[in-house]
Amino acid sequence: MITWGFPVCIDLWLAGMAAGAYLAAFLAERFGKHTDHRLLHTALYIGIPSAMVGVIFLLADLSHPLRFWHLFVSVNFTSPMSVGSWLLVLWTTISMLIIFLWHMRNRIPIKQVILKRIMNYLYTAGFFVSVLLMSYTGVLLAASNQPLWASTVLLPPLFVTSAISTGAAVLIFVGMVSRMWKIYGETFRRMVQVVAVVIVIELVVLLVYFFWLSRSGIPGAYESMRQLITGELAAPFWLGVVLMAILLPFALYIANWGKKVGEHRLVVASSIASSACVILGGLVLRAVIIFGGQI
Amino acid sequence: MGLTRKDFFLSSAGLCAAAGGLARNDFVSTALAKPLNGTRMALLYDSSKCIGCRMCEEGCIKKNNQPRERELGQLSKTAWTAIKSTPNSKGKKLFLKQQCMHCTDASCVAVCPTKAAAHHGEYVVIDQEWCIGCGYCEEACPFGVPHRGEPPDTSQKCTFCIKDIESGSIPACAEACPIGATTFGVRSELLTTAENKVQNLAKLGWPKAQLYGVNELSGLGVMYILLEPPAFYGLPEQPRQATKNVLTQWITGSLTAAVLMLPFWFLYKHKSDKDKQLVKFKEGTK
Repeated sequence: MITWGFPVCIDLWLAGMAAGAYLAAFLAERFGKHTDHRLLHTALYIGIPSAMVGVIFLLADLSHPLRFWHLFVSVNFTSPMSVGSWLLVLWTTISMLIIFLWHMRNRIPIKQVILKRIMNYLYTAGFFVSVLLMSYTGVLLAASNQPLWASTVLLPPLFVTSAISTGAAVLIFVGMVSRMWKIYGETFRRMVQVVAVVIVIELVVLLVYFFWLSRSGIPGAYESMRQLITGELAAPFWLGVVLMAILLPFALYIANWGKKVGEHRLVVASSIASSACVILGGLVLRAVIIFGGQI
Repeated sequence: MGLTRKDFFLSSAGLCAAAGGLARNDFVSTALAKPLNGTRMALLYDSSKCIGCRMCEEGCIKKNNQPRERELGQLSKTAWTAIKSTPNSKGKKLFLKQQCMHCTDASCVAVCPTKAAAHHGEYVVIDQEWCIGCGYCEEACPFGVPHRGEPPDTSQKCTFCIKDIESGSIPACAEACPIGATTFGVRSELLTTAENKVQNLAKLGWPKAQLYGVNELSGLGVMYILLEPPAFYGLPEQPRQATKNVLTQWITGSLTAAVLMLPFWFLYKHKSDKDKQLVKFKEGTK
């Protein structure tokens, strides 16, 4: 019986992507020693609406959507849904505060040094909340009694890997379409390489997850896995996840590995196409896992 | 406006301390509350006695004003107890009374995001005014007990007739059973009776007869005397609380993110982006 349907798939996909984009932008700026935070703010402009739309889908899936506020008068720390709801609120609040402070930085009567420090704390807090938000998308399903979700501890790693690949891919997508690459050419070239590496790791995590499921000996785990590989969900799994989310973008990324983004139009077009594949593939991955766990 | 290492570690330490403090609260909450009347009560269902008359279902329907349309042998949002019949290898029909097991380590209580599902004494009850109908208890219950109908609806399941118990009566199913296959009483006393019964059943040609629910999930509020192994009836051999590994799962998720920082570090550390074009924070400020 299907208890959780497409709205939950979309919520987990969007929340993961929003947090993944934040994490990718934060790390690219941190390790790349960027100081203007423009990439991070772009991630927030993508992430905040995504997270909000995700929440709308989550609420739409409730039998009593108007009672949603019951979620926010207490916290059940053992419930990933309760913790996740608070994380979504926290993440959105931090993100909006960053954007607000950034735009108001010249109008707020605070010394610039103090403002910078406050924003640095917010950036770091946002990073940690992003990590937890990505984990939440996997833990929500793993804390259940559905064999496909709960038989291993690898579902959170799989969803975190997918969140980072889709998050970085959406940054590349927006960066290419908005021609931001003209200023941040090298940053995006590296981001493309990061995604190529992350989707390979995603494939490895997926293989280990399946191997673990097949050996877990938990009743129903192997049968659920077979639904994905050879059963009802085989077509979306092989075409949407393996081909669209992993193999095709990996091939495109590798084909342009060393090339500068502005070198050829094809590089930009191929980066847009491969990123779109990763983003949509992330949705298909969540859909096959969520439906596969309930068939 | 670069993020200094000191800022990073200070923020990290603060967040970890906060998370640690919150987590401490956490795993105490699922502990069983004190028994309602001082002594832990329970139901004992003896499948060797059950004749499948479904009077327990009838009693439940009447007590809770439920409609009679239901699929035989299946729990649903209106069928809070249901007799399931499974033929054994000799063709004999063996019965099992399905219902909420009122677990000590109840998955529904652990995962409920609003605490609508909670222990009241030793009984697990879903507050119908507080449930948001998210369906998490349905995904988490190892026995597949809670059910919802079409929205707007809340998760429904057996309440153990808690109002009757509070007023000194017994659950409707136990009251309705004509041959005493379902009995309500002090758990420790029921346990002694059940253990003796299982020993007798072994002598009477049911070598696989066993007691279910004594230690499962730290002790169930509904115990079964089974003639065959639990799997025969579709019961989980080793039911587990859905949130048993939840901390490990949060950790594996977060560790994965930590590991995936490496590609960023490796690919960005020697980045030679011509950052002259970048608009710096300072330049943006007047």
